[in-house]
Amino acid sequence: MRVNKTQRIKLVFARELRRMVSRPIYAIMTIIIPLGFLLFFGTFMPEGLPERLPIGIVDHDNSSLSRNVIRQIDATQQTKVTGSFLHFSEARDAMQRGEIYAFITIPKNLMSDVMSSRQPTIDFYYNQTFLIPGSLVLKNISTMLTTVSAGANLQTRQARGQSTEASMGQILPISPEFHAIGNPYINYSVYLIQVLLPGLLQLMILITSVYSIGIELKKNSSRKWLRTAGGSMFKALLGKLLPYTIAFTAMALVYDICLFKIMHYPLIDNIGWMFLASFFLVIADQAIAILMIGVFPVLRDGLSFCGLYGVLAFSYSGLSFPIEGMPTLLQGLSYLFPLRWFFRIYQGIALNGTNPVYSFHFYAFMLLFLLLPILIWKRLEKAMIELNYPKK
Amino acid sequence: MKRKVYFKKALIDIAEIFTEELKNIFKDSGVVIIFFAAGLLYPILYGFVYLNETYKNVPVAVVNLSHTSLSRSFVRALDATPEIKVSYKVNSMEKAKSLYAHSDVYGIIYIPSSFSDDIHRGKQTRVLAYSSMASMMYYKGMYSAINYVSLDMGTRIQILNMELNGLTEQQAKAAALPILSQGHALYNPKGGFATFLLPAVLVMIIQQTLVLGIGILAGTAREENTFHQLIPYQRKYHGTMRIISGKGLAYFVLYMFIGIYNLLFIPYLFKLPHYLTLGAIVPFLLPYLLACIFFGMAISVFFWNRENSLLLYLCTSVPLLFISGFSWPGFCIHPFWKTISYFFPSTFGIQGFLKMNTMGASITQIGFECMGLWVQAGFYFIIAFFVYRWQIQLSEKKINRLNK
Repeated sequence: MRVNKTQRIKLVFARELRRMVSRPIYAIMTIIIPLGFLLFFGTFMPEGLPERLPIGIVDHDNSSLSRNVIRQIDATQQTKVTGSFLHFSEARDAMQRGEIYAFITIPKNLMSDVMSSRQPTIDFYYNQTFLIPGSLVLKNISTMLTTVSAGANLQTRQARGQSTEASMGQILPISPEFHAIGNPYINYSVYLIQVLLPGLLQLMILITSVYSIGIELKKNSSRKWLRTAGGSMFKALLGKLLPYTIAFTAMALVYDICLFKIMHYPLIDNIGWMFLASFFLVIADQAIAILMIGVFPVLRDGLSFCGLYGVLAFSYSGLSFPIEGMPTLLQGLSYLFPLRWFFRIYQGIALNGTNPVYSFHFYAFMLLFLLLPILIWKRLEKAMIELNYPKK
Repeated sequence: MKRKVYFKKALIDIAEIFTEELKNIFKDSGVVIIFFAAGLLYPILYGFVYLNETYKNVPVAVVNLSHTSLSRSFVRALDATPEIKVSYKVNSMEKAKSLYAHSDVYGIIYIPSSFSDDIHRGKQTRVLAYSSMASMMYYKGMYSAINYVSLDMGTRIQILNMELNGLTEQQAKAAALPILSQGHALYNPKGGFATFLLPAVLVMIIQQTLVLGIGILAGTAREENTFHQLIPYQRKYHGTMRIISGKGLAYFVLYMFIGIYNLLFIPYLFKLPHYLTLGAIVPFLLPYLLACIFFGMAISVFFWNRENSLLLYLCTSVPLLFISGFSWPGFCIHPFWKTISYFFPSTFGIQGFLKMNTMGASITQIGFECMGLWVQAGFYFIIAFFVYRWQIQLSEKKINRLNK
């Protein structure tokens, strides 16, 4: 029986579908774990910004002014005064135990020093071991203490008969107005999930693709697989990976729809651009997976490589730490991660709302990954036919 | 007399299982890669990526429509901050937006044409700042630089005005700023990213490579043993306690070295805060390693082949890191996930290690975390015990059936 080109691909495709339903691991990798990630990050941080961060007070003054300062700090949404301590060392002990993220020491004679224009200083101590709450309390306490000082200034001026407006023009002549583009409320949930979810999906795409090829080598079935494809590597790989392309693209679209349409995360341009980026991420990662198993035609080595690369991709997306801030020698590596280009597209389309034209070259970068399998084409074919690699 | 013989026998068995397990580890290139390549090299790679602790000089574009010496000194002051760098000075918002769209700058600062006039008339002037949210570092840098410069320059103008009205410099200062404030960062003073992330990753690497390695060894045992059981059928493999002690000891001895390397040497190498000393780390490392080892052994029964454990390892690392509360504060995590987090040694391990090594807490100050780790060690030991006994009984049954 002669079989034409597309029928060969269909045969491999059907063979793969049969393999996928034969063992639960495929459903776990393509559906259950990715949905688990979505569920986890969708529910993990109920508030977008940590609220009521516990802080401590060491009040050496105990005056109406010091109590007023404490009240004002407690009243903000971001911090809550949970402990009052007698000494610095007591407060530091609570900080080391992780009970408070910062504490404020109010000096003796605060009120009388203010009255007699001696400019007392309020010191506060914060902890940046935990960077997110640490920088939030820093921002909040320093803003509050500035406000307290400005408030005292304002009271004096009003007592002299100045209007509030005129006073503020004197107290704070330059007033900055801050706009965080695309994420106006500085929502950390939005900030983290935008890369974590596609990053984790990327990891699953890599693992599943490497696994589906590597298991054929491990179980000595790769010759049969290649025979089904009529001896063509191209048809063998295409037919094999296509079911996963479909499954993961569908999952990526579910992610996009959940984030942008159901949870209403910021998205300025059309969601179609994100769909396209998600699809490109899937195929780029599949191409990288072929390269990985081609370089290491042993299942477990291929998977280890996936892990190393897939986890490094989070760092190289530039989310937590900008690429430009890394050592020069390591900056270039960022080109090797499609997640990086996916994130750049996301910034343009979703956060900044810049014309999609500015993102076209990032889409193109992602497509370049499709050329990678050429590098190991012959090596992988040889491994599939000769089965000359250790199975363990 | 009889008891003495019994204990002697048990010790010999444990020693035999111990050496056998060590041999298994070093025979298996996969496990060697996980324990030594991942456990020892990964921290170094990570350390290099975040070698520059902080990100400075966020490039910004300034649209200065005021063209006065006052506005120019405002721009100079901005440029002088370590946080931002004025890369472009442009005349229109359009040009600034185009620079932003091309990622030439990550922020725009807009100074209105009325800037100086407003200030001279005693009217508050508004400076607009726009920051990219692609990285929190851009936002943080711009926010603190602009706030600092605006406050500082504003206060100086205020003092100058009061001096013109006849106050002395000292009087003017006290009137402008009746209360001073001063922040002190007690731990991680630079707000360094490596100091924040790396210690948590190091603790996580210990748990994940250990669980993965134990899982691979178990998977191999199943693939290779005659009856696809976790425990081979041999005489000395009868005592469950002996097996667990012998194997556990092998992992423990290896991971004392790998653990000390990760938790003492790596922070020292990358000049991260390192309060811990060799003596102080033991009371923490001991329960952490035991909890990880017994946890790994207890769940190893689910690994039917070598690849399952790799899969688990790869997809749990990132969520487990977040669940530990090192980034998003623990008390803000959803109660459900918070509860789940207590099942993993890494949660207590990361919290305990950060407090001891970065913040100089003593072992008594991390009493809660230590207690958590000991409870986990006990809990997983019991689970591992029953799991192993069940596996031994399974292989006995099979051999008996075969003998009949």
